[in-house]
Amino acid sequence: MKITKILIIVVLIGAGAFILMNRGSDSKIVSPQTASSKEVVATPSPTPTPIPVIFNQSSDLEAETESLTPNDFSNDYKTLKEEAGKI
Amino acid sequence: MNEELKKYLVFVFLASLFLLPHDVFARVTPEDIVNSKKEAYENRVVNYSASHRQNLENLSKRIAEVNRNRTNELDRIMVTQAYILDEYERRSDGKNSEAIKNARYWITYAHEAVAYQAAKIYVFDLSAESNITKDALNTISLFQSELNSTRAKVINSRKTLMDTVKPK
Repeated sequence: MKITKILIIVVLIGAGAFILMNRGSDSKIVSPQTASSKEVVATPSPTPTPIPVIFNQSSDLEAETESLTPNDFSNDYKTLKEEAGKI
Repeated sequence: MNEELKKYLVFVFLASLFLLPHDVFARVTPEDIVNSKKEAYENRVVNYSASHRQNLENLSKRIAEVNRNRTNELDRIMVTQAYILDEYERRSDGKNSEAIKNARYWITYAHEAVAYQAAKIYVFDLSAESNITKDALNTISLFQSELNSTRAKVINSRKTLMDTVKPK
């Protein structure tokens, strides 16, 4: 009987403390960081110019694939490093 | 009696500790990391000369511009690769499905890498005003490494596609 009373008191103290702590201050229990509350907005995925791609039965897929080589970016980096050197 | 009372009080105290709410820390997101870097940058750069601040801002814009232009180019390539694979699959009429599946996997992988690179924001990690050039070059080197890695993935997916569509 005594133990039961003690347990009830403990539960009431804990619940009361919980309520009091959450009433007056910002909740620190869970504060998920969502993108919308951040200063930085993630740059959206690139939206390329629509490609008038027309492949039909006569298209040479091998040649088309061969032509899809990305440009060399070396000049971009060289220019950026030159600009950094001038700072 | 006193001993019993002491035991109960200890029990009540320990149970109260257990029941009181504790702080739970949410996971760190990429936005948190960028914001943290930006904050550190702003705290440092405020002590720099006006011309250095302006130069850093201009360089930051240039990096973002290059990143945008090059990832747009890579994205166009990836969309075209996907169209080529679709046409090949249509012509195959159910044959060579394993190779098509493999090519599609690597095209998707590279395309996601391009989108991920496009979303990156490069913030200078400043040490001191006397090291401004070195700090700027470090960030450019990081950008170069990451963009080149993305470009390599696009080239790899093109190679896989070529192996798939090449007549046997």
